[in-house]
Amino acid sequence: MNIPLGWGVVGAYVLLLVGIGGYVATVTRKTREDYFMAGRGLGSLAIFMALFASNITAFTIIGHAGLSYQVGYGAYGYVIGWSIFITPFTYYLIGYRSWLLGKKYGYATQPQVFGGILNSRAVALTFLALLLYYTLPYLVVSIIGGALAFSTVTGGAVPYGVACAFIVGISLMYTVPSGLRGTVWTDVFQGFLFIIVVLLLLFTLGNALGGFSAITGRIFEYDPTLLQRGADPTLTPINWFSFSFVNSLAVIVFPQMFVRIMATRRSVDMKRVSVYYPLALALVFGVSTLLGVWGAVTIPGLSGKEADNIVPLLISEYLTPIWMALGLVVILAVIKSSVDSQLLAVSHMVTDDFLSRYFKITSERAVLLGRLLLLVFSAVAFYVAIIQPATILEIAAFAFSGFSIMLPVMIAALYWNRTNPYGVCSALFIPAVLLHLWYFGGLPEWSTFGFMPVVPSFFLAAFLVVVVSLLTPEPSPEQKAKTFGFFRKVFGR
Amino acid sequence: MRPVTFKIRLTLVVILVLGMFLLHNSFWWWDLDKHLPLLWGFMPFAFSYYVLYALLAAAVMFLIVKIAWPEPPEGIFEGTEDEELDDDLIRGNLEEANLTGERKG
Repeated sequence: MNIPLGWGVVGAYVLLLVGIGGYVATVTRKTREDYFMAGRGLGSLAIFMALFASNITAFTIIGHAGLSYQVGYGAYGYVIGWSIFITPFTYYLIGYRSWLLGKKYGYATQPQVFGGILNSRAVALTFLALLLYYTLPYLVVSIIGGALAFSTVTGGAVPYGVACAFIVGISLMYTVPSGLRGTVWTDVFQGFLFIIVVLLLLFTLGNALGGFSAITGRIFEYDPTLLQRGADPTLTPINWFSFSFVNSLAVIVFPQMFVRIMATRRSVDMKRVSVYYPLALALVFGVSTLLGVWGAVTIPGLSGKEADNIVPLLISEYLTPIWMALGLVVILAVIKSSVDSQLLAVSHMVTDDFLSRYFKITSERAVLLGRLLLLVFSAVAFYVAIIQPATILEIAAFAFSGFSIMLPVMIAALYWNRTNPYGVCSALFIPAVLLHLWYFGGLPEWSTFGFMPVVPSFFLAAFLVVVVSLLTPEPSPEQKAKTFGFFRKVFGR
Repeated sequence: MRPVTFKIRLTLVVILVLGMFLLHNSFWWWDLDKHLPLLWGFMPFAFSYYVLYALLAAAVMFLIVKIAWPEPPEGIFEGTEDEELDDDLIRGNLEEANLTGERKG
């Protein structure tokens, strides 16, 4: 991609991002609510693109295309099928009730919402610890994936370490001055850029390969098993079922997604997002699936991790070099829209849910602290991305499952007034320990009954929150009334 | 006629969700991948099934919004009983809200 025009495209993209961040910083006030929550004023477009851009990662265009290359069209349903419906549904199931409580009581993060519902410091701190524990490795892996892609696409002209510094540095340039509002408006830009470039890429590449029907004809000839779900040994029904509990249920638990929903201006904005979200998810993953499967018949023979390079390979083989620059910009866009929101979310939680608990911190001081923590977490994430310790990468491998198994607790706390802190803490802690034992080999494989470890952990969490809550004292009537009396006014009986 | 309670509406939502889960895990239809024709000349059933599933998901979400997602009543966010919430768990946020009044937005 070493062409002046290509670097010009990347440079223009970076300038636009910094420009948006710089402008937004001028309208962002130095208050907690404005810096971390954008004044709870995100409208339909802003919240839609903010959630969408944060939800889409490098996996969408690299990893998913690689999987589609290997297993065929079945990858579409396997990876994103259930998410298409359940992810926007969780915006209703968890998002709306949490948002109502946020508007009423000023909550912004999960530790505040669930600690507040149960009036429990232990619940708040357990939520905080687990969310940080899973988010930080996930953040590091996002940086590693992005830097590797950046370095590969530029043919090594940008070394891996420089690519890491670039991703983190550019994210900081607009996130530090402008907070949530800045990350959201850069997401709007990056989200549109992603959708437009990916659609153009699909049609241009389809044309270069002889048209959609011609390529599909070649698939029939070359390997008809690519057309069938279940033809590949990866896509067994039990894996398919298990995977329903991994990525799709985790999204609402990601702190960066949760906080954005809490920052929505009106209920109607959330409703619009929930209705249109399935179409956006299906569109981008659909394109990635098509590119991956088309690659299987036009550039056959890639195996393992090599298959993840299929989109850059298709571009370099069939399109002009400028497409490589656009492809790189898309990869940077999806990575940075996740990295900036994750960095801000962890800084926000540590400021508001940890430091503010123990120290008297004014609103303006909280913004300053948040900015300092952004720098600290970025430096740590950069360092870890450089040295790539095995344990961090192993934790990241099951971070999605870790987030997912927190969902039963969130549902119970928002829908069942008998839920108490004992039930919640046990349901957060014990399944998380078991998940670690399964992934680190501390428990035999047969003990998951053939399912992925997330499945028994998820149902155990649901079981524990109910049974332990029933066996221990119920919350006081005042405590129940604070949340459920309020909900009754909104939803009726 | 008695109004439909929220519990009934929520039960309908649960049925819709289970239906969608069943449609996603519809292994008994996987054999159709070999037999059904391409949609628009290039989409095999394994792919077009989820294109249609996405349209259905949007429709079901629209239905859920209609039947079980009430708008917050007028004035529901006003008059927060701050004394009830005066614990250190949410101290920072409440101070912010009290200082600026933004919570009531």
